[in-house]
Amino acid sequence: MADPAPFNAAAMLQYIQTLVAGLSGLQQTYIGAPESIATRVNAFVTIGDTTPRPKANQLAQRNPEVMVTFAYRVAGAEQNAELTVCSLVDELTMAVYADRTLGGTSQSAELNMGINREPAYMDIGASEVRRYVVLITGLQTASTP
Amino acid sequence: MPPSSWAAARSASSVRLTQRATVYGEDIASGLYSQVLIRSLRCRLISRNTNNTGLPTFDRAEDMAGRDFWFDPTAYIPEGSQVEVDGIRWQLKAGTFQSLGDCTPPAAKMCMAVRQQVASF
Repeated sequence: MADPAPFNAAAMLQYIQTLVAGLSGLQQTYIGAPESIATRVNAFVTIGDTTPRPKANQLAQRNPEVMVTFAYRVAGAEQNAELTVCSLVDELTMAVYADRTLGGTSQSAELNMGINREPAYMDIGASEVRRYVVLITGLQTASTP
Repeated sequence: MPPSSWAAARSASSVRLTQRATVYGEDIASGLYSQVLIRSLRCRLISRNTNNTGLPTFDRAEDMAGRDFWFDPTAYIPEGSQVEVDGIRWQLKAGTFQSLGDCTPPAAKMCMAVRQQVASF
């Protein structure tokens, strides 16, 4: 297992945003959930659970979650949306597994897409989008008083 | 959500189309709304939040940014287009387009519009 990574949620979030922005076919990436989307193929990266727990004397750990939400503006093209999401998910999976330390911001990262069993559509700024969520969970360790 | 009932009930002739809009379609390659479809479209954006029941309880700013978009009844706007009025972009919501009046062309056309986010306020 890699060296412990310190508590730094922003570093993990920003590393994943950079990773996602490099996916082919993606047109726009946001940190934070946008009020509206500018392009057809979008992703936004948000922070999830960061609850810490005592690990040992003067040592705490946590499994910070970063959610990557792919949002494809459907406009009647459900098939294109689904196939594009498939490609993005495959590419992101390989990118995370190529470096599970997430650039040194996590000791070991894991992926979970179990929330997507039902097809999800949502409205963003009056545009209907196909939504697919990838949950990336890291491991960070910190010394405490 | 369909256009608000108060607006739908408004007399079409009472809405003066005093604003001008540029209508944009999507550029397939970039996904951006950058293709100009119509210039100087006569239109009017009318607030949907004019009830007298007290303060609204919406969750986010964009929920307050809904308008009824009335436009020249002789014009055809593809559903899903965007319009720019006074420098602000509005997304026209598919499925909310209505023609009002029992005549051809209709007395008025309208749909729901939602303001699009600017980079920062």
